[in-house]
Amino acid sequence: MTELLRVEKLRISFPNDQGLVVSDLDLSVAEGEILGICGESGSGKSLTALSLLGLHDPDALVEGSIYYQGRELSGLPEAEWRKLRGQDLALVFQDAQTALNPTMRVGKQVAEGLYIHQPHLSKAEINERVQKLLTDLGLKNVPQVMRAFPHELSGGMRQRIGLAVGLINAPHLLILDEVTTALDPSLQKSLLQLLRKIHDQTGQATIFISHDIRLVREFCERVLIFYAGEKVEEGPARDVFANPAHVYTKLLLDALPGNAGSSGRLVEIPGRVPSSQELAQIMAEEECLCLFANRCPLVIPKCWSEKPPLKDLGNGHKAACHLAEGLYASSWARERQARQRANERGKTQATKESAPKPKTTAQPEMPTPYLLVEEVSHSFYGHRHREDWVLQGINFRIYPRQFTALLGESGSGKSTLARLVSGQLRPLEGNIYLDGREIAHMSRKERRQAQLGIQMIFQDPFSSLHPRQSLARQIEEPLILAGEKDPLVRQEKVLQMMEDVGLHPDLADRLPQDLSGGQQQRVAIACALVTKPKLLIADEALSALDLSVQAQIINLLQQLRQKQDFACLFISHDLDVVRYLCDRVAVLYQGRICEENKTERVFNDPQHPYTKELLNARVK
Amino acid sequence: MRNAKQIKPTKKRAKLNIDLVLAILLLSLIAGLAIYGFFISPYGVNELTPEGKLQAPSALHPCGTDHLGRDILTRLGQAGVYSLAIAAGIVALGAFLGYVIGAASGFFGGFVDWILSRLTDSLLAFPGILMALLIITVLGRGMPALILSLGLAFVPSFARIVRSAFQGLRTENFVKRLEIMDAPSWRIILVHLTPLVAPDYLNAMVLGLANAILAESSLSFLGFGIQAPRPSWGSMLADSRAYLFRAPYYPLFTGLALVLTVLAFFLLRRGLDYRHQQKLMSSKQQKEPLTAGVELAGAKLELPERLKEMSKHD
Repeated sequence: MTELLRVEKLRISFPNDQGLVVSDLDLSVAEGEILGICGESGSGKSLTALSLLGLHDPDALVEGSIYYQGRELSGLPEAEWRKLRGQDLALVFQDAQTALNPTMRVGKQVAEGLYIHQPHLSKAEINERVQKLLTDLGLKNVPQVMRAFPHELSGGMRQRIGLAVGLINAPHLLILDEVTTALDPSLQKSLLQLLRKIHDQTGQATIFISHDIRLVREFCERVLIFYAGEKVEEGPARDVFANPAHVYTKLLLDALPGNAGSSGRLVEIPGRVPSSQELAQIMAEEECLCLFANRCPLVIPKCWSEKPPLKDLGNGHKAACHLAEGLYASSWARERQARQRANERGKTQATKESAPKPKTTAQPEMPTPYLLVEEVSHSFYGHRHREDWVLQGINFRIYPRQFTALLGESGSGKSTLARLVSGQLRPLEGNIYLDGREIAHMSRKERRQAQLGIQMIFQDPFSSLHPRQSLARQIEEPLILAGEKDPLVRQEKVLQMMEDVGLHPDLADRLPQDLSGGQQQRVAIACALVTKPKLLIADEALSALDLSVQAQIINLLQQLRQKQDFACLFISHDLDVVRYLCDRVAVLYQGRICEENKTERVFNDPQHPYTKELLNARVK
Repeated sequence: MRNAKQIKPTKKRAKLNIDLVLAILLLSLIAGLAIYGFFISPYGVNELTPEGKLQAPSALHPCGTDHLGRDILTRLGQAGVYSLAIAAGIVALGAFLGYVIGAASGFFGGFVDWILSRLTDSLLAFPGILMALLIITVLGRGMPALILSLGLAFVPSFARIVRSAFQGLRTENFVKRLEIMDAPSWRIILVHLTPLVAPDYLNAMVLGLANAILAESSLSFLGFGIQAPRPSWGSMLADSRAYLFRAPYYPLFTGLALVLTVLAFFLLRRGLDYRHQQKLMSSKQQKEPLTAGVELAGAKLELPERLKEMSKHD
């Protein structure tokens, strides 16, 4: 296979911020190859992708060489770049909503690529090509879709349009930057299938960037693992994920909820990724060390004094770790495979050992559910059109100390149900009982006096926190609202809570913007649990976090669950997490609960066709 | 090898906040003028000096004398104080009422918003000066009527700022969290949301001061503002019109005082704004890389935008 793109010693830094984001990166893509780039936030992958097309932030200093078909790209004038972009190299962004022009009809946007790069085509020909591409991408009612504006389409359709814009000129190299992240799992899977189909048809080279290892594992031939702006491992995807040779890769794989070990706890990676300023400093002071050393469980003295070179392990598999050879050949990889095989076998026996859940939930029918949702139906449009109501006849219950998952796709009514339970909305029909009391129709004043003790954590950690209040102040607020008058008592509880969630007391005076996403979510959890509520609603609380951070938060929730004894309504679309964490699962489909049962039963023996479809849509 | 898109890194030392410096200079000048007018000047504000009418600027009268023989500089100084005091009153009234209305409108929405918006719309429907004239006709000329009428005229613009700010903040998750905890609305507004709106609101108030001075001067020019014998830049301008060619220094110095004061407030606003921006920027540098798994759409206030900015450095 001939080499299509080669990058040598790419270094991206921000002189104004004194930050270094990517250092000395070498990569190459062969013609027709699917290369995956895997890495967490802050690893520099998106910036790398952008700089391959010369679209990086003008504040960024990009050094190094980029060769496309043997031609040097760095230093090209803008006019030359424009000829290449869209024609030879194409980039598809993560969020189609913001990547598309909201004032232009979608068909026109896709056609624009043709106007620019192949002006000799007639209008009819352009139209035909666009239609054909959109049909190939699986869109129905193509002529209608073409005349629509981006906001009129669903998320999945928009993403396909985003793809179409990239593909219309049949580029030699297609770069996909986190294109699946904002989608539901079933959409993710179908999009991946689509991408594979297109690749088989057109044979173009693809770079697939994602932080979701499962997707990269499924889709890519070769993979690059990024950490802190460096390539730490590369090789054939199957090999890298089955036999990781770098500790970081191995930890990432172990952090997947599907790979929970026998102890039940997910493996977490302590610490955090070095910031771009720290990287610049390390570079400036010419320190020789492995950037992962401060977080590595297998660190040896050599890691601190010598930078690990990229070692070749054969078969194109390389890793930059002093322990690479050992890891590669180690029994750990095989141990995990053995564990997985045991899990497969264990699944059919419905083993109770998959996760340590509090024993009290083993009793099936407790007399008084803590939360009882009775025949709740809701609509945003008044009493008309009964069939189109957002929620219809929802019935379920949560017992004390029980974790119940609410599964469903976007638009199924999960968030609406969460808002109804938490009291933000009043259901049009039906009742909600908390500990025997009817709460759905209480006034604000009554609710306050009743001190209901329902708390909620949200998907986006940053917006869950007040941007200008210190952490301690924010965690204190629920206590103030609950009526705790003594400031000393409050302070003590706040500090205790911070310790419980794993936040250093020194951070008490910091602002949310100084923290990482994982830390912010910890603060949000602290705010939620400091008053020891009996019911916690977690609305996609893990979706915006990196895999390693997710593991930390999941472990934290388990810990707190033991310590504090609360029930949780866990809304998610991540089936692996749900399986790991929750006792019961309720599946929401088109406003109704189509299945509700113990987790193992739902996963092993799904009754409703939709549930079966959901389970199948998982990318293992 | 450099990429064509690379630009030379600009020196990122703290850039001098020229606007703020100039503003402070000008304001000190005006303050000095005021102090002179009340305490230092040898002349009384309405004293007919022996030098006579319409004298050119000299050692005795640095700005000359007006058509009645009074020292212009002294009058300018005192007039400044009155103008500023009234402007402060106007802004205080307008900003306070505007905040209450805007906060209620933006936070509660629905019917409350509807009613209050119609109220402010009706305030807006009248051209400010016209409405001021109306009120003054009813209440009689003088300071209270002036402050009331112009203050009311300013309410809609202040209310609008607060309303849109609150509407943007309303949908943030931390507000939802507070509501789920059944926090009383007044607490959410006062304790949690007001500190967020305050910096921009103070900014608006400074701008309001500048506009208020202009508005008051306009009314005084027409004879409806500050009444004789109290001096006012506006009325001095009116008086000096007749002598534009004979004694140009009269309207010149008066106009200059007015312009420089208004300019000072404009610059102050810009300077404060810049300082605020710089503070935001520097704290952005110290932050640690945030996770950015999902891109959020729908930026309203600066808060969600900052999130997007932060996730750019991926």
